[in-house]
Amino acid sequence: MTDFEQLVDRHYAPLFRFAFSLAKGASEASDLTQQTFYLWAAKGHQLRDRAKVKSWLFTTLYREYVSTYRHNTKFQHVELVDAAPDLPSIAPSIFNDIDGGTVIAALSQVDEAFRAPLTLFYLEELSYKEIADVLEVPIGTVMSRLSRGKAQLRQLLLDHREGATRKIIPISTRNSATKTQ
Amino acid sequence: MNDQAKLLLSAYRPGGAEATDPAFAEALAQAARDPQLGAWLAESQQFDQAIASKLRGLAVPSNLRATILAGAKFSKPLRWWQRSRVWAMAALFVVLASVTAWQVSKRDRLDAWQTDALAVLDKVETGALNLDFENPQPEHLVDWLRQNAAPAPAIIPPALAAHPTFGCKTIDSGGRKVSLICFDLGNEDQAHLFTTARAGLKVEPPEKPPIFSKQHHWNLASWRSGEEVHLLATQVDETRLRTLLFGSVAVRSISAPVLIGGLPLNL
Repeated sequence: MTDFEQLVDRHYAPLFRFAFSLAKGASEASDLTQQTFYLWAAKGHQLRDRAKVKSWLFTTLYREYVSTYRHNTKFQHVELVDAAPDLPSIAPSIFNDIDGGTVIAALSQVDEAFRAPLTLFYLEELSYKEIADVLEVPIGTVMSRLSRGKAQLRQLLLDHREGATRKIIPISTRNSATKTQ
Repeated sequence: MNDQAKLLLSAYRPGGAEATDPAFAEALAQAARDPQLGAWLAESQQFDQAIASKLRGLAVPSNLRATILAGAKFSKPLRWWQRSRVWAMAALFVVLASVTAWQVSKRDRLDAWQTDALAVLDKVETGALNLDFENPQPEHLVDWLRQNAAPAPAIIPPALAAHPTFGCKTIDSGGRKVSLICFDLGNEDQAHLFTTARAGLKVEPPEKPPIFSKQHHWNLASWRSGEEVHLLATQVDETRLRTLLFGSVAVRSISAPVLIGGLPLNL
């Protein structure tokens, strides 16, 4: 097995899952994942620190997503607060009853600014410092977005459980104590 | 105080990369002292573990690995002019200026479907587009094209058909159906055969000899075969391009009438 095949085997599944959460479709996620490895094949030799291969792959995939699927919105304005939001309460006993499809669907509805760090956090592939590097945001912003993303995800799962169809209002617009990032 | 600890602990994964990170030590100690914060942390971690487990269960397409490996084999590293949009724009400007200044001959102009086909090919090469169907045997690709109502070459030059294939793709050029078959020439060289119906073309190449031309980085040969029109694009030099068309016979002058040998693919 070649080095490249080993690299693909090690990383293609989590990269696909990250891409899926961003692009919301298996076809687009597959294209993003494939393009990421193509770029590695073409440019990977330029990476001197081989310990950063994983970060390089996730960063490249995210940049490809931004440039391909999200033109002109990379620097969108996001209101954040320092304090952690109150998390909607979900009884621990129901956590494991939630099926995977529902979780993925709820995750895909989380605001995009929160969804990328949230997915990277749950994939458990990167440290929060590496997540900050991949998304090119400060560490504090990653923490804020994780906190707010989790709150949104909980609310979406609660709504699903209650059969509610109302659309979740982004937390950033609900909170009165906001400040510009 | 707890809000700040909660914010920090939102990024904490027990057993993860943060387990030994001193940045979390104080917040964890605070959670150990404060029952309310401790309960919040325990419940939060239970939620995180459940979500992480579900996300790891997201199925990955069964053919993705093979597609990635095939794509990397198929693709070549970016050329220098592809590495920078500025350079690409500059190159485009030079090409356009050259076209205007030199008034390229009618022989070298591409028909619209050929221009579209090469544009798609460039995207396939860079990985921006995928092949529709992959198989190393050309006859399987021809079958697939026929099954999908796409133009399928009835005859492929034998020296070309002797090479394995990567796959095929269907292209729509302003309503005209065009098919693409990609051949592996070995040593990372490739040749790409486009086929479209002769009907409706304003300009069509002769049946013999083929027209040879060059567009950007592509060496091209176009010819007509019955009711089909073909375009072969490759980055190997013209001498080798000719051997692909004329098989193992001695390369002959372009001005001499040369019959293209054909391998029936109606297997």
